[in-house]
Amino acid sequence: MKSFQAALLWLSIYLIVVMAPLFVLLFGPTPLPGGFWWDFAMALGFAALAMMGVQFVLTARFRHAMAPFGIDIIYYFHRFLAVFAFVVLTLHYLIIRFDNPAALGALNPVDAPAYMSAGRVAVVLFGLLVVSSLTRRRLGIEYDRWRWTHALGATLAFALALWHVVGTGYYVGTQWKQILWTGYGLFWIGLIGHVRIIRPWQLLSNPYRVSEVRRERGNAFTLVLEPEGHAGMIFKPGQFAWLTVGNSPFSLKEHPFSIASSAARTGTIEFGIKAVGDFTRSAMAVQPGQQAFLDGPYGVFSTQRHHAAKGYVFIAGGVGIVPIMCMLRTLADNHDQRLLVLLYGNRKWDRVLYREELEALATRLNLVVVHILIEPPEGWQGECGFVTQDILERHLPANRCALHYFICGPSAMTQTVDSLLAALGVRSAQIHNELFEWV
Amino acid sequence: MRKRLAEILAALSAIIVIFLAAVFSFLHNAQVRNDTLINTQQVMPQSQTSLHNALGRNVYNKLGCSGCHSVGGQGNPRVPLDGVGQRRSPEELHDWIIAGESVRPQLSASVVRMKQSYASIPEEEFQELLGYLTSLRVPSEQQ
Repeated sequence: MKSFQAALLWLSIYLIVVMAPLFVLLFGPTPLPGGFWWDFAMALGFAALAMMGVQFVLTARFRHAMAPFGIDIIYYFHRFLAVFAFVVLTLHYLIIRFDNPAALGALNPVDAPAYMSAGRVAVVLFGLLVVSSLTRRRLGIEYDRWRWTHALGATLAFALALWHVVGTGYYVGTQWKQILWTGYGLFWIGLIGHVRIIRPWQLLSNPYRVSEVRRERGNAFTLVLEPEGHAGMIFKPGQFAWLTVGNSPFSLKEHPFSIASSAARTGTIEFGIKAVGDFTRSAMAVQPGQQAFLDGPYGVFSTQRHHAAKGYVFIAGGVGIVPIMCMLRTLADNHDQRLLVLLYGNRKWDRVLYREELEALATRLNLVVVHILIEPPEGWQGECGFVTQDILERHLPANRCALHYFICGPSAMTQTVDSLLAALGVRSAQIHNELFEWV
Repeated sequence: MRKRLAEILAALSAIIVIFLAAVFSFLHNAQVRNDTLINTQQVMPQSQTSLHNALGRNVYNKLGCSGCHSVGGQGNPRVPLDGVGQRRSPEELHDWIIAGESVRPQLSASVVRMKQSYASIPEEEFQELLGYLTSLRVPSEQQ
């Protein structure tokens, strides 16, 4: 109920931010009405521009504002909204195209007014931004390259759309309305300055140094960082940070990684990384002594947010164990003796990340570790295959509905376990997961 | 679950935005509906008959005048030109086309810039355009 109210509040704020500047245009001198469809199309154009503007704030990583939801979900919201904002933008164009094609004038940029061509280019650019983001992996576009082009393309498309609005001059004929909408647009563009210049500048004053690169099982490694000239980052167990290694924080070559070390220990910070993507593979070559920068912490996937729980169940797949390892290490450092269950899925036994340390943690904590293997070795007596309802029923304690569940792994696994737990009667408010694969 | 919630919220936002855009249009059109829309409908048949001035109409199209004006409901409905030949003398129309000094105070700077560029079109085409605009009269004025 609480999250429903919060969602409703933020939806209202979003709608005010997007629509208020449009309705303000009805005050003071207004242009003659052009008929329902004409003015509807115009209003959709203004709304689409405002929606695209708000997209900038959603990825500006305002930690405190995003804290109640988790930045992972904010990025998903950004992704879904982009699709719908593009639909609104397309409607703006299509309604005029069919209702009043003559008003669009010449398509040829040589004959057309520059602000009309700017609008057309903006539509195409926004379309490319949406498509390239949704299909980046399928198209094999490298993440860093995508990120640069996405940031530049979005800024350019937004500036062109703003030019189109001011150039056509509908509704913004008076000076104060022109200032309002130009300022409104420039504010969103200014946020890019905050994210790309001011924030990296702040990171420069809190550098880290790579002190160790430790090979782990399963083609993974632990990156150990020491703070240089500062106390380090204070974080909640299960959170993550954007990591830049061997590059300037202005370089945009940063990637989100889960923190693996205990939140109860300050200073040295460790990240668990598996070589699966284009960056993580190259990160294997990181050498001790290299400078690093951290933007964080972020995320709501944390036992600390549900500290009154009677116990925790962790369900991890592969490298999804990393934030859970952070929570387990923290619980151990805090001498926590509540009931803990870990269901940990992997393909092969010799690739089980943190295998030995989990055995050691089971002796310090009231922890039951259940390994589930897709390709078990000969003579394996444990669980096999994927997480199923049978496996959950076998290993979850009788008071399972009173526990909090933390799920981290591939999307398919997370969705399946979500449904299985719901079927077992666990309330959705007690199921927490971290969303990966934003782009 | 959270992902689904984000998806639903985003879809809901878009639906409400589209609805509010429709409300905006309705409110704006309700304000002055009686003055304008009815006039536009009345002059529509007249505008169609003006198409005999094909050369002038070609110049009108070539210059992209419909980006800011409409004739017979086609083009930007903000500034309809139906009946302009009745309301304005050829001298006044000349000034309105090129943003002459007499009309300049009534126009924004960007519109003045755009209109001034029309002063450089060939004289023959300019006269064809002027003739076309002069021919745009309301039905009662037609012969």
